Amino acid sequence: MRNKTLAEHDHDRTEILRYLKECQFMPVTPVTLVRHMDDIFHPVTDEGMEFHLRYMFEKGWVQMNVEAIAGKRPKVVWAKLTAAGLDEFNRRAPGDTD
Amino acid sequence: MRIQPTKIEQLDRQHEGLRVDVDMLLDKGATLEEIQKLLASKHGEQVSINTISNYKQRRWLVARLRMKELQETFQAVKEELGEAAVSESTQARLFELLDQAMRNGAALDPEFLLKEQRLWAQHAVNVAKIETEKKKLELQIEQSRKAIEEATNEAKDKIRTGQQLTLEDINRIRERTFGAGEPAARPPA
Repeated sequence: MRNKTLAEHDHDRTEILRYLKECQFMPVTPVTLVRHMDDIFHPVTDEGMEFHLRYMFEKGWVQMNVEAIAGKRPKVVWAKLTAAGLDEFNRRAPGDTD
Repeated sequence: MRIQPTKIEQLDRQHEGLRVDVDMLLDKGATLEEIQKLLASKHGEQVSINTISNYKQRRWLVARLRMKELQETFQAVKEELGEAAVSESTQARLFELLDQAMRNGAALDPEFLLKEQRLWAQHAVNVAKIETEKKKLELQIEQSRKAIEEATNEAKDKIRTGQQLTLEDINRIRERTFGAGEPAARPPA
């Protein structure tokens, strides 16, 4: 699979924000998000999804729960949208159509 | 079954962000003409109203209905379990299972799902009960340890001050160590 551009990564994050918004602030596993991205022909690997979620967490757009696993990097168990994340999503929406 | 990409999805491969723009406009309730106008101005693509309508029916609407059904079933299962008993991790996992079940074409039979989730929830409750019992036992052990220590210290003090240990003293130590049971027999005269 070819490497995605930065813009494509950013659009993937928009899509993740959109899906989390549709889930109405409910916690969602990374697996569910990966499946959704497959559905819309924007495949993201498990590692890629983990990276996106961690990035979005650092930005304050999502809240996350992380599970510590002995000898391995902690794994994201679920993520949900924050109010800041919703604002960011609305900011990314296309402008007024009139 | 292989899913054929719609024209909008094909264009999305050439113009980054085209599809998500269409989705967000549809979310906002924009008309097909408004979407057509945006695609022309932002992405430089002349797209017919039919193309946008086709995407809306085959993808956007289907996804919205699916999400609605998924959320309704999820809420039903959550209410049955009692929201307080369901942690966020369990909620996320439950949602994932429901999503997978729908993808496998399973009719979302709440009874079947509830049975599985009841077992889960029961397991979580059992684990919590065991933890509580463990804490109780630890407390009892600590209390017993203190009682034994107290009784033996009393005995030590008596011996230190040259007093004799009586049968009652011995029985008290036995009781505190082993619980109430047969008292020690008097030694033969």
